[in-house]
Amino acid sequence: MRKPKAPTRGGSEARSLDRRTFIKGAAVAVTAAAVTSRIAPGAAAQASPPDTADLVGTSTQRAARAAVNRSKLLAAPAPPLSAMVIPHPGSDFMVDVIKSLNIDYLAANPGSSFRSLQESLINYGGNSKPEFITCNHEEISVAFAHGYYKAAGKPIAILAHSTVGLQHAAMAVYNAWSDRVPVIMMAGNLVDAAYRRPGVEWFHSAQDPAAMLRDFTKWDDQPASLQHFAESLVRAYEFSMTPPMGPSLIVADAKLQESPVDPAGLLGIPKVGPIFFPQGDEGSLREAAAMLAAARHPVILADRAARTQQGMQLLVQLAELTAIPVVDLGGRMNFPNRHYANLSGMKRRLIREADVILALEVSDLWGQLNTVGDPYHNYRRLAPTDVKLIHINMAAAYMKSNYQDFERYQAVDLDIIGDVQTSLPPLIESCRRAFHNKQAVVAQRTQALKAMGQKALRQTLTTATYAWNASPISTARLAAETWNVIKDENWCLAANGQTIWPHALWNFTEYQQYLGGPGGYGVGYAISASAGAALANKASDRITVSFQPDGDLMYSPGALWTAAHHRLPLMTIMFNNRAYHQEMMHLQNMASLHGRSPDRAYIGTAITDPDIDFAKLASGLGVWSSGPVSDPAQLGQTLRAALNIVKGGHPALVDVICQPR
Amino acid sequence: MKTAIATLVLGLLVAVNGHAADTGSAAHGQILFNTLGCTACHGAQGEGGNARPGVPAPKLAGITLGLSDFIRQIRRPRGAMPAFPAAFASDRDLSDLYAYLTSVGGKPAALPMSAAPLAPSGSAARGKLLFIKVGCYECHDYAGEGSVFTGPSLSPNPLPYPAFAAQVRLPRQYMPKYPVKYLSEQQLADIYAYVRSLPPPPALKNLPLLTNR
Repeated sequence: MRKPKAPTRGGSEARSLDRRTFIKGAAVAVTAAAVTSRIAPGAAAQASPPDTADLVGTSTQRAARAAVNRSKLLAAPAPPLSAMVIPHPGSDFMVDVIKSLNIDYLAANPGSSFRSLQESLINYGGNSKPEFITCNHEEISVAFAHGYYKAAGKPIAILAHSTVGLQHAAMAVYNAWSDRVPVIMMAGNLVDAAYRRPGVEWFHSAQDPAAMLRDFTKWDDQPASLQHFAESLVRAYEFSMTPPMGPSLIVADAKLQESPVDPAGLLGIPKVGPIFFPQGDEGSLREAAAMLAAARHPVILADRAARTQQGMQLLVQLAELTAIPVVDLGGRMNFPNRHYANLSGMKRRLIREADVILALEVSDLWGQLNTVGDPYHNYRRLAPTDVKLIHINMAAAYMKSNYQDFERYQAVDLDIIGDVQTSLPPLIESCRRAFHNKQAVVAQRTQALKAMGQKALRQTLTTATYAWNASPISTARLAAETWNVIKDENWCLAANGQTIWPHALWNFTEYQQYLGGPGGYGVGYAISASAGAALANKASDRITVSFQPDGDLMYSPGALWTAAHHRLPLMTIMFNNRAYHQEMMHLQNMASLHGRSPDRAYIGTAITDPDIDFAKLASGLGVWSSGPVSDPAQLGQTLRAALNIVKGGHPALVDVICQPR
Repeated sequence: MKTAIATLVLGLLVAVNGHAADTGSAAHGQILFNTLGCTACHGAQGEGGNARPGVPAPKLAGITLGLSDFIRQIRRPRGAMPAFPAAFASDRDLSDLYAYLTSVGGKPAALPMSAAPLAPSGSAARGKLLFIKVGCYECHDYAGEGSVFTGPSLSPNPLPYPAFAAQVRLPRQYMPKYPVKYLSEQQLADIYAYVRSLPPPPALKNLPLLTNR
């Protein structure tokens, strides 16, 4: 246990009053007012809880004592309220705790429930580690932290303003939860009802503010003391960072923040323990290797498998050693897209023919093996019924039941509970032995994989030519033009606009080059997460590129201001198709199912009349912008102009009018 | 639509054979093979092919599949093949088609020129407006290039009209259906004319952004 940092700032030069002295002073003033203006005595009692001694004896005896006390107090001069100083508030200690976690940034929209903590962060803490990142909405704060983690591999903190801030944050928290991403969340609150000011503070207080997020956070607590806060925040950090990762929430009570640290209190900050990434059982991994070696058509499905570049390299090693094709499901950057073993585009065929499937942290394994059609909900089995399934995953460690992000239950033949990246080295070693006598098979399969990949690439490139010169601009052309501009830079694709083309046409070789999706499919993620990623990537001189859906941006456009304010090198390329096309498609299907014409599905789904001028929107928020661009011939030069701005350390936005898909 | 196609097919049948087809008529099947548009993906000689990128079509000449499996595949296909409900090809038609494919071994004879795929005339200009009005662009994009997530490309190499019409009227899986009540025969022909009028894409070799990645 470390000793608490000694409060050092501001105490010596100002007249110091601790909280108890302050309350007594206020009680004197109010009691005096009650005497002189004949206000009911209860007013004084409300302002200051009576001392225990005042409750001893009969009511007559108590009244007599009170009269004596009143006369003594009236004789003493009351200190003016403005003279009060709390030089060592609890929030300073909270900053010490936060700093102990080595957190670089804290994203927040300001709120009075954490005003003391914010002041301590910027003055006592020097606005450094963590540095305050100003956001215009709590959904932006959390999504920003989500994107930051995936780019940097370390978490940042967020602060939310009690009831209202947490409700705003909820959607982004659900995305982070579903994407298994740690976010260290804190929220203000004022649990002591007698301490609250009338009015707003009551709306911004709750008995249990974390309750609304409990279904999709790993852990939460509402500490009742500063020591409790220290232990719970460290515990929350450790829980969040241990696979399966996820957001945690600690409520920083406002009274604790604003009250002085008890100089006699024995406060300590626990040391953060080592984060444990559990390895799968070695016997099971040996069995998995044997099953893979015996298979004729094995397939690897990787979803949230790799955590770092090393994880990606380990998976390459496994694929090359065994000549097993890899389908990257895209939850993380798992596998180089141009590697011969990456046959992600042939997923259905590979699964249809598979006899053994090695699934690596796949969030929806059942959904990879079966389909349920829309809108008729007709079931079809995709994988052979006798396919053998191996799943290395941490899903069994999730113990929440309300939100259904755990997907349909899939029985497996070999369930290996463990972190994929940690489990890969022993699996590779086991495969090295199991495939020792399979060199001919491996060589033959390697040639087959290369041939299949080449054929698939030719088909993909041919398809990319379709509508090449069309206006609106095709999504393939958009991806190709963007790649041409950034391919020689140090880049990261933070959001892909949910099109296949970046992965079909670009060359992804590094883990940090792709950050996966939002997790919970909650709209409003892309711009905020991309801004967070841009902050993380700025430290390594990596520019961040994002294909930004128009509907998504309208949920949280304020993130553009955050990007401008904090000078984030973010290249936002609008995938502006002027509609919620996924929903329009659903409406068409429902009309068809109901025997009606699908031709009115644009109502409530089109984002036109007026068309949104995203360039003007961005410009108004301080971001360099250009567009709308609807002529494909003009796209390249506009993107190059944007890149120059981004390389100068500022955000830029290009509004591109695109085909729907 | 059913009547129109049946009339055209019958006309061709009479032109070739001089009488209505019998059950299992390979001659009738030969005509259906083209008029239903099977050639678009499976090749003019049923040799199979890759006319549509990413959608390889198996060889059909000398097919060894059993008749019931053959019919099941056409009614409820696996893969990207459009479904042909009985409204567009009866079981008897499919028996004839099967008879043709099994009779020719690996080398089906060339088809008579008169048996080219059938497409009624339509206005591409009207079709372009309809393409947007009824929402085709939603999944297939304004230029018909489509997406793997939503709907296949309609251009280049559009489906033959019978297959196109079959898919619009009684589609497979996700696509909403467009009965005559909401999309007339003429409107469908207009849309088809628009799809066929879309310019072909540039050759891959002429696009350095794709070849020099």
